[in-house]
Amino acid sequence: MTLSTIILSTGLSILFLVVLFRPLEKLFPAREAQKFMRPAFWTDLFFLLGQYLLWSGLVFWALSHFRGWLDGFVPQNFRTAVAAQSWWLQAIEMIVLSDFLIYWAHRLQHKVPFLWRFHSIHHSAEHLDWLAAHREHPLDTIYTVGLINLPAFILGFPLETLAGFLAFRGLWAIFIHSNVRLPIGPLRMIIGAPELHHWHHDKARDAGNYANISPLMDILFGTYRCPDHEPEAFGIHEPISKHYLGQLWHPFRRHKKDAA
Amino acid sequence: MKTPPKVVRVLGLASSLTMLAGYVVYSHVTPNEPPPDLLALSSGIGMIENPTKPPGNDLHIISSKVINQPVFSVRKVTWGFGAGSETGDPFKPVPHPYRPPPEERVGTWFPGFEMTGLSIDPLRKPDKP
Repeated sequence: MTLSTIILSTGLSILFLVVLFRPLEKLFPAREAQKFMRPAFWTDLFFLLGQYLLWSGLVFWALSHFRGWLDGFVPQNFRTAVAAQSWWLQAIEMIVLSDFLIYWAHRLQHKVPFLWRFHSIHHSAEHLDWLAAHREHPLDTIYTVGLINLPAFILGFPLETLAGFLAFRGLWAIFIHSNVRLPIGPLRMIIGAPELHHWHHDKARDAGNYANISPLMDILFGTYRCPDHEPEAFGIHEPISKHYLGQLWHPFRRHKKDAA
Repeated sequence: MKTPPKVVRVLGLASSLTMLAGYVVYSHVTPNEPPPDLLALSSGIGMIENPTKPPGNDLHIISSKVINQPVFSVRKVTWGFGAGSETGDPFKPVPHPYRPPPEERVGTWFPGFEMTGLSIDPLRKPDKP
């Protein structure tokens, strides 16, 4: 992939996201007063560009090593047996296992001070929209994406059969951060909704709603929260740089007191 | 702020859902390029590879939010209906690890079943016309 192709692909992706989400944010706003060019817009845009241009290569490199390391532990016969199941059964197994892992890993990110150092970057966004979804420390991304991949690596699920579903899930992960309040009724119990994830980003919070997409794990483990209004404010209480490089460096700074 | 008319809201929602559906289908049928390696990580540091690992399963979910690379593949992604779908041929029987191949089965017949309606691993060979 040449540099010009990478830049073109990134530009088209941003255009697609704007065309997809901006009308929804205008027509069904969660916060009507929030503008497109809101505070920290450029910081979040840098996070997006970092993910597209730099960090996806780093994540792939880390995953390749992770997978190579796991290959030594899982018998090939076991993987063959798993891959011989019907695709829909594999899909259900992979989704349930991934959601289970992500749910508990995400709870750890909020409880373990070392993990919170990285994850707090994502929660530092004070304005949620489709762009703020990209505010993630690259090492936090490796942690999360490694766990999403873990069932596939261990069990040998052929991911090409799930490519469409995974694409949907990625886009939905952006949607739940968008400045949209679009009540989808009981469907939110299955695929999640922005109104749920906004409460996860509540500044005055006892987080809750830890599940990646579907809130089933939250319902199962008693962390599901869905008040009928939007939170007062988003963000975190601890001081953090407003700038991209400052936020990338934040986890490595000396912390007087870690608090999640 | 003035609420847009209902018809505009419905049209906006419908267009977003259409784009979402289009993106999902496009992502399923289009193989991804390798992610950009602008940090040159893979050029200088050796990858850990297991020579016994199955071919054609080098897929990783790169990021949940990088939409031009939801799933990275080192080979062409094919449409798949059956288990594994290594070939993309929905009519090719897939060997089951616990069942003998059809030619080794004697005196058994059960109808094959698959969610898509395609019998991919029938326990008897199809009748010749």
